[in-house]
Amino acid sequence: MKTIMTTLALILALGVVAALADELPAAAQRIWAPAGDEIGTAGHLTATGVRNDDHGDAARAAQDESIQGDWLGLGLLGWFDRSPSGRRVDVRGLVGNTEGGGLAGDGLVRSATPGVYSARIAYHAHDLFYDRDSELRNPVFPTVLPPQLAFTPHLEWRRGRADLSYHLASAFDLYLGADDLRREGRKSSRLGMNPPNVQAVDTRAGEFWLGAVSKLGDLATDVKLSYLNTDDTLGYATGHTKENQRDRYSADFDAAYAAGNRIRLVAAGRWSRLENTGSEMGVVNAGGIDGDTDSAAYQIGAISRLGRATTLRLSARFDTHDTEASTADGADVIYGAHRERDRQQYEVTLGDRSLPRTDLQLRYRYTTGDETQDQAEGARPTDLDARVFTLDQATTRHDAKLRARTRLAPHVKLSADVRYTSLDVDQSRSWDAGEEVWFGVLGDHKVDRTSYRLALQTRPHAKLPLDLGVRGFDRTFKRTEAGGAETTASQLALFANTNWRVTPRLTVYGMVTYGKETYELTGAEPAAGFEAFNVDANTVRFSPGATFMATDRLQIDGWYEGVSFEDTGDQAASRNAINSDRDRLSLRVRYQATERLAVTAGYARNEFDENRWDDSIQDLWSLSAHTSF
Amino acid sequence: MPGTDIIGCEACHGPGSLHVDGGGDGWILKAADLEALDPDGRAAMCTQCHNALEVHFASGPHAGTEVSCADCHRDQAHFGGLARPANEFRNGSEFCLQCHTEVVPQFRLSSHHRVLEGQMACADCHDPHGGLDVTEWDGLNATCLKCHSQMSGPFVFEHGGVEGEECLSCHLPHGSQNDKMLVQSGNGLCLQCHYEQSFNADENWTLDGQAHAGLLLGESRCYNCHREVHGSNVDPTFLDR
Repeated sequence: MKTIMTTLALILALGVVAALADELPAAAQRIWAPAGDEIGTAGHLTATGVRNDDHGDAARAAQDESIQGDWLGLGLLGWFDRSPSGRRVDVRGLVGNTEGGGLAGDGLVRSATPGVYSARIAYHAHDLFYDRDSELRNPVFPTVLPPQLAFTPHLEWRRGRADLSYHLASAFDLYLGADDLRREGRKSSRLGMNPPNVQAVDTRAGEFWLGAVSKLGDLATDVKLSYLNTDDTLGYATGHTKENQRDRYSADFDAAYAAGNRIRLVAAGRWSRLENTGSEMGVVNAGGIDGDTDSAAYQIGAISRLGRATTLRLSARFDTHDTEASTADGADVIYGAHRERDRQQYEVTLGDRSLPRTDLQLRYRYTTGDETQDQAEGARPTDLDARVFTLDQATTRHDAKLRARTRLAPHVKLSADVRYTSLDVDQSRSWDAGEEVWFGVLGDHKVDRTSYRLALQTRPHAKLPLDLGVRGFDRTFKRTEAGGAETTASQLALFANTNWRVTPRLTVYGMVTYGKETYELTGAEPAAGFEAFNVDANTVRFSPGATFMATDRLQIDGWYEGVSFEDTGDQAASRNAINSDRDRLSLRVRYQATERLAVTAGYARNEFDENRWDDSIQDLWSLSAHTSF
Repeated sequence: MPGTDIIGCEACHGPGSLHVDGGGDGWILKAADLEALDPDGRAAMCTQCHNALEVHFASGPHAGTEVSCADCHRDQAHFGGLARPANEFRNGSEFCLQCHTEVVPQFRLSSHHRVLEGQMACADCHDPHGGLDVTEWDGLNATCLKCHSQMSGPFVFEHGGVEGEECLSCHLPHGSQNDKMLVQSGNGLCLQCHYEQSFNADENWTLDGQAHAGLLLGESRCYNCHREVHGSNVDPTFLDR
C-alpha cells in the first residue's frame, strides 16, 4: 500500500508540472484484452489456446473472471472489404469454447453503401458464472460453510440484434430492427439449498421496431413504432415463483424545424402502454397478477444562436403515467393498486464558446410533479368496500449543471462538470381503516446532491501523455418526520493515467485510482438496543505496465493490476468488516516470425482475497498465433 | 447533395464540373475549408444528407461541444478526427473510451457491466447522437429496463427510488467494489433513507413488533428478507414470502 500511495503522489506531482504536449488524450490501456488479441484495420485472424489452472474457490474465480474450465480456445477474426462503388463490408468475430462443450463469443457483420443502405447483424453468446447472492449469507438461517453448492451457478446470456436503414429517396429513410435478449440459468447463494436459496432465471425480451425519417424543406421528422415482448420466469427454492408476460407498445415522434439561420425548433413525443399478466406464487400470498401502465411524454424546445459563439436552448416537457395493478386468487382480489403521476419540466441551457479555446455550458432545470397512489387490501382501490391506503406526494426539484472545457495550452486540456440537485418531497398519507398502516412511506424528505468531475489531459513531455482527474458526489438525505436526523453519503475517485513512450522501443504505462466512500447518520442518537454505524471505505487501484521491443521481431509485455478495498468505518453491530484485495498479473512475449505471422506466449494470474471467503486464484498459460491479410 | 441523388465527393466538396468549367478555381470546398468550420458547422454539413441526425444531433449530448461527426467517424469522413478509427478497436466501447478515459477504472472494479470485455457496448445505454430526452416516465430507468425487464413491473407494490435518481440511487452501472454494482456494501445502502431501522425513532417501523437491530447483526442484510426490493405483487414490504 505504501508503494501504491507513493506512486500515486509521484504521478499527481507530474500533473502539477504539466507542460506543453502533443496529441491528446493518453491512449487508454487495453489490459482487459486476452493474450494474442491483435486487431487493426487490416484483415486479421488469431487463434489462442489457454490452460487454466485454478486453485481455491473456483466458483468465485469463475464469477469474477468469467473463465472456467481447464482448457480454453479463442479465435478472433477481422475481415474488411471495400468495393469501388463505396460499399463496405465488415466481418468481426470472437469465439471461444465453454466448459460444457459449447461456444461463446461475439459476432458482427456490417455492411453499408453510403447513400443507399446500412445494415448490421450482431450476436453475443456468453456464459456467466454467478454467485452474486454471496452477500445474502445470513446467520439467522442455518448456515453451511461455502462452498457447498452441488453446482456452479451458471447463467447463459444470449443476445442477437439486427437492424437495417435504407435510403429510399433523398429525403426519406426507412429503418427497422429487432433485438432479442435471453438469460437462462441459476444464480445462487453459498448457503446451498438453505434460504435465501437458489434463484432460477429464465427471461427473454424481444423488441421489434420500424421507423421512417423524412426531410421536407426545413422540417425533418423521425417516427418510430416499436413492440416489446418479455417472458420472465423467476423462482426461488423457497417456493416463491414469478411468471410475467409483458407486452409494450410504443410510438415515438421527433421533429426539428430550421426556422431561419439562427433558430431551430424541436419537438418530441412518446406514448407507450405496458401490459403485464402472469402469476406470483409467494409463500403466504399467491395469485394471478394483472397490471398495465399508460405513459405519455411530450417535449418542445428551441435552440437559438444568439451570436456567433452563444447558443440558447429552451425546452419544456410534460409527462403522465398511470398504473393499475392487482393480485387475485381467482375472483378474490388480494391486493390492488392505482397510481397516477404527472410531471412538468422546464429547462434552459446556455452554451458559449466566445472565450478562446473554451466551451462553456450552463443548464438549469425546474421540475414539479404530483403523485396519487391508492393501495387496497382484499380489493381493488376502486371497489366500494375497499380499505384504501392513500399516498399523495408533491415533488419540487431544481437541477443546475455547469460544464466547461478549455484548452489551457496547445496540449493541455481541462474539462469540468459540476451538478447540483435539490429535491423536496411533501407526502401525506391516510389509511381509511383507521388502523396502523401496514406499510410505511418515508414522509416529507429533502435530498441535496452535488456531483462533480474534473479531468486534466496533458503531456508533460512530448512522449508522455498524462490524464489526471477526480469525480465524486456528496448527498444529504433528510427526513422531516424523523426528528430532523439526516444521512450523508459521499464518494470520491481520483485517477491518473499515463502512457509514456520512453524510447522508440519502450513504452511504460500505468493507471492509479483512489476511491473513497463514506456514510454517516447525524442528528439522532440510536435508541436502546439499536446501534448506528458509519461507512468509511477506501479503494485503491494500481496498474503499471510496460511494452519493450527487444528486437525488431521480439516484443515483451508485462502489466500488473492491484485493487485494494478496506472499510475502516465503525462496524458497530450492523455488519462485519470487509477487506478485499485483487491482483492481476500478465506477461507476454510476442515473436514476429514472418511479415504476416506472429506468435505470442503468455502467462496471467488472477487472484482475489477477501476475508469472508476462500482465496480464488487462476493461473492462465496461453499460446496464440496471429496472421494478417 | 441535399435534394438530389448526388453522393460521393461532390456531396461534401461541391460540384466538380463547375469547378473544372471555372478553370479549376472556385466552387469547391477544400478540406481546409471544411476543417475551418466550427463543430456545429461541420455537423451541419453531414446532416444535410444524414436525415436522422438532422432531427437528433443538434439536441444531443455531443452538440455544442467540440466534438463533431468526423471526430468519431474519421475513417468515413476522411478528415479531422479526435479519435482513432473504430476498426482499430476490438469493440465500440474501446472506441468511446479514447476520450472518456475516466470511466475505465470503474469498469475494472469487481462488479461491473461487461463492457470492456465486449459483451456490452457504451451505446447500449448511451446514445452518442442523442436528441431530446423524451423517454418513458421512468427516465433513466427505461435504459436499464431494456435488459432488466423483470424489474419493470408494473407492480402492485413498488419501491420508489429517490425521484430523479431512480436505479442509480442504489446501483453504479459502470462498476462498483460491491456486489450487484451497489453504491455501498451491505445495509449502509438501505439505511441512507431507511435509517429509522438503525434507531427506534419511529415506532411505526417496528415491523410486527420485531426489533430490526437484531436482524442487522453480523453479515445480515436488509435484503435477506426484503428480497423483492424492486417490487412485489404479494407483499407490501417486499418480503420473500
